[in-house]
Amino acid sequence: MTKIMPGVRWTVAVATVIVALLLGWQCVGLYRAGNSPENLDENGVHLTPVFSVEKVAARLEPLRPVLAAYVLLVAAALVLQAGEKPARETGRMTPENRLRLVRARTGALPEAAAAEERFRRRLRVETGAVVVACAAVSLGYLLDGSHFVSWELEAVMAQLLVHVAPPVVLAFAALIAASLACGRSVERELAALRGAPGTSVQATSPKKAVPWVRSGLRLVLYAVAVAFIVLGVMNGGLRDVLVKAINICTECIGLG
Amino acid sequence: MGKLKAWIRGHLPTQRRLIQLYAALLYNAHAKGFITGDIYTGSSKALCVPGFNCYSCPGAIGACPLGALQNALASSGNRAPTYVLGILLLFGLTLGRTICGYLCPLGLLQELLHKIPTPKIKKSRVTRVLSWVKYVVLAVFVIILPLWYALQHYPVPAFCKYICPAGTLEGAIGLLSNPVNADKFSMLGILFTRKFVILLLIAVACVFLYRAFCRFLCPLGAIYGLFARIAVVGVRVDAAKCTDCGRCVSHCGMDIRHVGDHECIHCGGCMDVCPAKAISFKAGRITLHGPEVAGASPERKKRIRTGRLAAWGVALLVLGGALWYFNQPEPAEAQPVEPVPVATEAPEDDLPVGQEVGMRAPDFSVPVYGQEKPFVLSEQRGKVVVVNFWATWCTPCCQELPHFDEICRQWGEQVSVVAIHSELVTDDVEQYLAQFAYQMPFALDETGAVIKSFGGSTMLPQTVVMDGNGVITYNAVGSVTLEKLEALVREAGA
Repeated sequence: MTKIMPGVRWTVAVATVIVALLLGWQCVGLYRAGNSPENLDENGVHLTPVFSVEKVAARLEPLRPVLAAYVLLVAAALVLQAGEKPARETGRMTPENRLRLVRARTGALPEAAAAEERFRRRLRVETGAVVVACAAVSLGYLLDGSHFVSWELEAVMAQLLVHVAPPVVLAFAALIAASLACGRSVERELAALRGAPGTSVQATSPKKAVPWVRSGLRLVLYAVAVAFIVLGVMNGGLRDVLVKAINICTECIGLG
Repeated sequence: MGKLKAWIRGHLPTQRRLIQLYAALLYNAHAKGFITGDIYTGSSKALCVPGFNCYSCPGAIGACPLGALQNALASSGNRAPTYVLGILLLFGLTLGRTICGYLCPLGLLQELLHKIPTPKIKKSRVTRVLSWVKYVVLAVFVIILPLWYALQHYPVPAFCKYICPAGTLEGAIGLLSNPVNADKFSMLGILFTRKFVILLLIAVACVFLYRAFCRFLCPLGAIYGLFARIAVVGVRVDAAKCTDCGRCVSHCGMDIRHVGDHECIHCGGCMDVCPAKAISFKAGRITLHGPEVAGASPERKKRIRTGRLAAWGVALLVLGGALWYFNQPEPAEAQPVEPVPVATEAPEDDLPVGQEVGMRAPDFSVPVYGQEKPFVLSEQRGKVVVVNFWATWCTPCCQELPHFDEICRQWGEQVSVVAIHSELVTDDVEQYLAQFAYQMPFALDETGAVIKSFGGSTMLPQTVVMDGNGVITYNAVGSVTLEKLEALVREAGA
């Protein structure tokens, strides 16, 4: 059973992606067909609706055997998996945790380890600078109200994507690169610390007593929450929520 | 036999799974909505549920906190959004991200999808960094965009509109899957296509990645994560017992750095793998689950078991009560207090009166803002009449108002246009209209009788076009473009 499970898992994975692609393709295809020139009059108005029950049913019809086969495949895989022995939990310390423990047992840091620490500190500062710069660019756009005056939301969103997405992606790319580099640096430091002279200091977990500040803050925030709710009930906020919840804004749920 | 028993015991749903199922059922106790194809419209919807559950789902009995927050921020030009903020503060302080682990239907769905046997992508440094994306989503789609447009009195719940998979699955697909709503297919377009593809992407991601939406995109999780350090309920690590072995972090599917941080959903999975028995699930100082409970004396264990059974008994009673209450048959319609809509004048034919295309429109009279004379449908004979049902809180309604006004300006005397506000008024409509220089008349459906007589229910916007004889040529829910409106008006004989 255990031997065939990796193969079964890969089969289900491929099937999952194929089913999702087919469903997505049918939906996009339906939309494209509905907006093709044949379905538009001279004013750009649709001659027949883009979507209809009949059109959707016609598109889903050929997918039925595929979907049924997928459901059966998943069910079979689940049954096979249920018969599998559960994997033993081994657990592994994160390199950072390991480093903390090793360092607590180490006396003087070797130069190589200290250099790694300096490298990580510099990396953090540099990455922080990149993230701050990217955030400044994004916020510069987001906090400028003149970008959000048009009611043509599609155009606004497209502009938003053009101006905000690149710095955000860059910031995350920088963070990922820095995180990976930090991980490698920690591993290098661990290697450098191997065999370093130890001390009698034992690794201890940082003991955190529950500060009284936390309870106090909690109480204050509870009072604020209750006050906010009462104020909200009085200023009509409650009715706002009710009215929005008992009516359907068609665009808000993706209907159109 | 013993092996079979052990196998069954090993595969029984956990207490957490049962609570998740319970929460999903309780949030969606209006089961008959799935049969009638309509949403619940009772007063319980003024209360937000703690988890992610679209309030346009036919079964929903409460409001989605995130939808309510966006709506409140969008209305913040008129009033401070204190109610929703207070509710979120209360939930966050009490439960924090325990809500994600126990009380979120979308979380349950993600975990079930992750059960599909495929190779899984494990968490790594990359996923840990990506877990911060949800804070960007929160800032841009939930806060900044709705707030900017609130200044223009234009409600834009950007997260609901462009991303929310719960809205697509529970709201849109939940409603469309009922044959009663077959006519709603005609309003689908690019928005649905895009959101459906997003839903598929998220679903596939959840199969391979544990709680992909929750970890990378969910703004509600981001909000509750802010309370990680002060929430009353959650898992706690006994620092004196902890040996820093790292098994808890390595076992956890979320991108946590340590147990109980802002990424931790307090599922308690780490309690079973902790070799030092240092982790327990607590509410304040009371231990709800953990080694202290497991190692308790037989009497205490018995008390705990009795307590649990009693809690489940009460919970099931509540669920049963909710299912009974929210699924009671509708009371028989009382005699209408409002005058029954009558046909517009001059019935030179014997067309039936009704809401369908080809029927004669029922007559109505509605008070017009800023005018003494009401708008009476029967007085518009000889003109094409365009009626738009709208509301200030409805994004597409506000967006398409200029199109109706353009028709009013373009076609002058030939076409009579009126925009009728839904009877549920939360804003000062006159104050709203004062922001714009609309020429068309705006009226108020004080009792909701007019929208009902045109087959309207809970969905907005709705547009009705009638020809010069008062015969309906178009009646549909959904947004319309200026081009489409012009075509409809021409089709009606203008």
